[in-house]
Amino acid sequence: MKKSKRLWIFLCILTFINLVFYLTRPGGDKMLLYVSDLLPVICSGICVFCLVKTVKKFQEWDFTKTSWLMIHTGIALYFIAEITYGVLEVFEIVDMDVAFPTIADYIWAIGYIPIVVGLLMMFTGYLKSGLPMGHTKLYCCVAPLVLILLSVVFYFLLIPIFRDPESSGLVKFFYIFYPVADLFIVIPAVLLMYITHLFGRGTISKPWKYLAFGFMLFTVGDLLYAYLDWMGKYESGNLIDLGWNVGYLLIALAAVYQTELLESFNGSEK
Amino acid sequence: MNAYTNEYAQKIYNILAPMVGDLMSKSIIKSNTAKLGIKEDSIQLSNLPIIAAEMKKGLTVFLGSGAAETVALRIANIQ
Repeated sequence: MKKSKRLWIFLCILTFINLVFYLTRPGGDKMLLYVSDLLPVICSGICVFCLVKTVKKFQEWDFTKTSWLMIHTGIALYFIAEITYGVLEVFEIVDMDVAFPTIADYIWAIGYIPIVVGLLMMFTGYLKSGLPMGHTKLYCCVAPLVLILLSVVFYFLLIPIFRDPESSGLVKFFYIFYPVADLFIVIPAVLLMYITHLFGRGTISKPWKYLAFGFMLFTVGDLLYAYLDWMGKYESGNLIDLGWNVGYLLIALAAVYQTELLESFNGSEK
Repeated sequence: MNAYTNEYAQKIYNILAPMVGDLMSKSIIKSNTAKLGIKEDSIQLSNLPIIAAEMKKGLTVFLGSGAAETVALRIANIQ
């Protein structure tokens, strides 16, 4: 069985387990806390493992390998942040709402940098490749829609958070940082998704497609998290965690598809 | 699928289509032959090394230079 198929099965099983735990809460709140802290560690760990394999698979050290390495570095930092968050909440019994931002948030924040760099490298690499960019008219139609969407996010989420007198400057910074940093990720991700759409069912674009989906799920999760946490309605075991967990596994799938693609040229099936 | 009457264009298409899809393959062949100042249906054996080198640039972003070189060699070695 192909690695990608195995990972798909794993993704479905994990999503099912995730849903069952979050909806039925067997074992009570304590068990839910353990599961909600453990699943992101497992998912991000799998993602890091798959990305390491992908980076190793590139034969030559060029900008393509570097862009995947950047994404790997960012996800590895997310992995460390997930572990830190879990340790603080489960072993140190830290109230994460009160302690926000924790050291985990700083690590997540640093992780954004290599991810944005990696995605931008992919996008600029594509621009330089001379391959078709699609219809200019579509870009012109989509740009105002994106601007409207951004305005809605800024008006209904970011500005109220910024004006909230009860939150400290550092807390406000992190509440705003996540959605804003996500925009830097989601814009190149959406562009990559459109580009991959031009390729139809071509195998070459599959990794980018799943990367884009994964990062888009992160963005949706972060936006909902920023809103719910600011309203004091976020607690461990919230359904939005599913967005991050599935996001990690989709990025892992992207890595596996890239590895399989490279193996088909290298002629190795390790 | 027979997309071209020119045998070299068809062979390039056969290499590219499984990887990049039907539309993109045609678009890549069209743009790269246009760079040579020729049409898809007038590709000759002598054009293949130049077309292959151009295509390598486009494929590198997805495959890295090593695998892109493999595809370029397949195109350059079409008989």
